Amino acid sequence: MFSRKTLVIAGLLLLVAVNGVVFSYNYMRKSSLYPAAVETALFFVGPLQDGVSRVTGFAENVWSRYFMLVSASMENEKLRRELAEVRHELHLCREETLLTARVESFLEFKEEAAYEMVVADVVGREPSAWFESIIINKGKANGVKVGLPVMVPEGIVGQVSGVSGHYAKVLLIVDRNNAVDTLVQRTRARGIVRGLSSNVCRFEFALHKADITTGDIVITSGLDGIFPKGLRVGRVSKIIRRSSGIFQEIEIAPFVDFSRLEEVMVIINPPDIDLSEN
Amino acid sequence: MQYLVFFFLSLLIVVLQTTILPNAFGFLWFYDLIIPLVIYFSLYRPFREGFTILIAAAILMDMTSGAPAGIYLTTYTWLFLACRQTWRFFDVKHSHLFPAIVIIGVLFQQLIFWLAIRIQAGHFVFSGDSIRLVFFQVLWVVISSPFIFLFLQMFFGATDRMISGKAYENGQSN
Repeated sequence: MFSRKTLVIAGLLLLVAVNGVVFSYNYMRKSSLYPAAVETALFFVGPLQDGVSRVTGFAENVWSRYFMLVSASMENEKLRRELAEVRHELHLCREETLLTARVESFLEFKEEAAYEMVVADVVGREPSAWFESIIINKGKANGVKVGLPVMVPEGIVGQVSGVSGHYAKVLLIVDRNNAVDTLVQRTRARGIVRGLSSNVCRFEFALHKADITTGDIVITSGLDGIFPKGLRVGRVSKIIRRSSGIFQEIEIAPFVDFSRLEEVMVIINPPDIDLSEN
Repeated sequence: MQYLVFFFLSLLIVVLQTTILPNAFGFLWFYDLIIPLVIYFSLYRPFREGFTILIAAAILMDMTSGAPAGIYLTTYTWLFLACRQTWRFFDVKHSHLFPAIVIIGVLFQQLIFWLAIRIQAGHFVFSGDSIRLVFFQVLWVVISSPFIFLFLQMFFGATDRMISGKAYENGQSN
């Protein structure tokens, strides 16, 4: 009936017409088919799109976060290094400040004191807990001799018990084998300070009648021929007066913290001991 | 050469326990690390070698310590000789007995120190602090001596192989 050519043209025209109708926006919006079509399409496509977009989003997220994490991790590492360096510098500054403070106090003390002193670093400590001594880095070359008194601004430390060219051994006053002739500053009561443990000394030979109370300051008497008179030793921390015996039992807390000794001063020329004043 | 190496080991231990340990563990009362060395020398090394190093280590300790001169020499010598005589009669060379022998050595040293102070100062008695000190030292021995034993075995084995090309087997080559 119709030629093949006519059918093709008609088909094309129909297609154009349907296409025009179907894709006509206004028409579609008004058509009752539109929502149903959208709903149907979304019913099938939506979940898939959702799933795929979630997966791709996740992958994208992971990818970007991975790079972010890598860079954050690198940055973190860099910041940590910087922080460690800054902390180290801060630590050095603090150490420097403390050292300066100690040196200042040493210098101040040296200027005030009437004797010549050599400042030494503590380089070694007694390995046994039964004895109390330190090794310092000044020796014969610096004028250090056996028997010279050693101190810090807070009080007396001990006396040199051995010496080599550049090092010396100092027996601390808290050692049981050390003894220092001393006075109670307030009442001038005399006694011998002897080491008892790492942070306690005993004040021996104080008579019962001697007026000594807790908190009294004990100073060197200068009578032992080692320590100059008037140097601080410690504070009376405990007194026991027994009914028997002629002496009081007195404990002294030294002014010096022996566990934290870092620098000490050796009195090179202790003044002559004046016996007449005691 | 061998003596020199062992002397440097002793020197290293002396330096370690007069510088680092008192600052790091001073409040925990670490024991004398020369004692395990003396016991090791006594049990597993030839007499002449052990005794020479013992004398050197004791002199180093005596000279750096504020203790009465010769106290470390006395302690180490008695300990060395006692261990040496003991293994002639009893089989004390097993490695698992090493901590126990070191504990005895540490206690022996504390006894010597206590006697020295008692004789010199006259008034010293065992206080709570002293008991705590001994307790901590024994505790440290229990913790550290197996590792020290292993280290000494490795050290002496390596030095023997390096220097003389032979290794003493638990004191057999005496």
